[in-house]
Amino acid sequence: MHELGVTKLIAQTVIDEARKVEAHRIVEVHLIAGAMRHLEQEWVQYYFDRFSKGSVAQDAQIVLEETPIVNECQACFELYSPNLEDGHSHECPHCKSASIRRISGGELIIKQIVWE
Amino acid sequence: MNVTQVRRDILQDNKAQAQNIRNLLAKNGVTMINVMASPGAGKTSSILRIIETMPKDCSIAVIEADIDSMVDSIKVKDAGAVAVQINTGGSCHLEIPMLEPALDLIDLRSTDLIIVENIGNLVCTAEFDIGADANVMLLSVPEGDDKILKYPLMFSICDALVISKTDYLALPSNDFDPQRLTQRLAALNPEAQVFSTSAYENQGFEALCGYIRGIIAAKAPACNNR
Repeated sequence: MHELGVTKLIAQTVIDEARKVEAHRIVEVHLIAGAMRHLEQEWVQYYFDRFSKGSVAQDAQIVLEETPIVNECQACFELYSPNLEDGHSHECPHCKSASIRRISGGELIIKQIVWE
Repeated sequence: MNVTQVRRDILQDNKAQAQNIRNLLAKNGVTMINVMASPGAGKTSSILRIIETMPKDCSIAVIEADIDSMVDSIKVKDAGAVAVQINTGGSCHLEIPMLEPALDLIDLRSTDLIIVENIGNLVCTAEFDIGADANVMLLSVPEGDDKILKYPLMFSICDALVISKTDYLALPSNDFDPQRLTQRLAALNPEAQVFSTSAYENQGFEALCGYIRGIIAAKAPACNNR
């Protein structure tokens, strides 16, 4: 249900992009959402339909691609997806360094639009 | 059919608005912190303790955001701070267009610190940058140390995590493990600073206010000796 706020921004952005390419109709909107965003495609579609009604993006299909949380170890540069439940998620699984940096999992991007 | 690669951050307009707020605050030498938590985690009680603990010559204004009611702003006024109430009328989080009219009511030139008490919510409040210098999240002991598994975004965007209501740690029914929480936090947000407070016992606010004073000092060197 929390999708309402961000979906309003998604619809505004899509309509803006449609104007730039002079689209008559937006057919698909491909989104990339980090796992931490907890976006449900069904709810994004539900709110998108409401916010896009009467615009070029009306009836567009939302395609949501979820990206995992990924950390990069700052000692050995290993990439890993932390499992917060295992008790060792703050350490690099390869070298056990606690010097890590999160590099994905919170993004919210319109990847591409399919239009006519 | 045509395919256009957009690669556009949905929150870029929000980020631009937030930067405008940061510029406005920087111009006036004001620090703003965004306090976020669940309903009942102790946001208002903690803010009252912060007002009490900060040096008396630090001029504080509090923006209270609630879906309805004035109860929190009345408490803040009684504590001696400037209070501005925003009733969001159903919106579960604060956005910059709601915040701007409240900032207009505050004399920024004579204010050192603005504390925004965001709406009690661990989901939507994390999604919108309001232009604060620091996001301060409260997690109360009775809520449990596992909340980071359910609301990772909030824990990932906070600059400081305050474990509140630590007086509950002494109860026989307690199963909150601060170490388990901080280890999980380190996996998502290694830069976040962690504080422990009890508004009931008035514990931990010197350290939290030291952190806030550090932000003020970095931003407005004239206040450094406060």
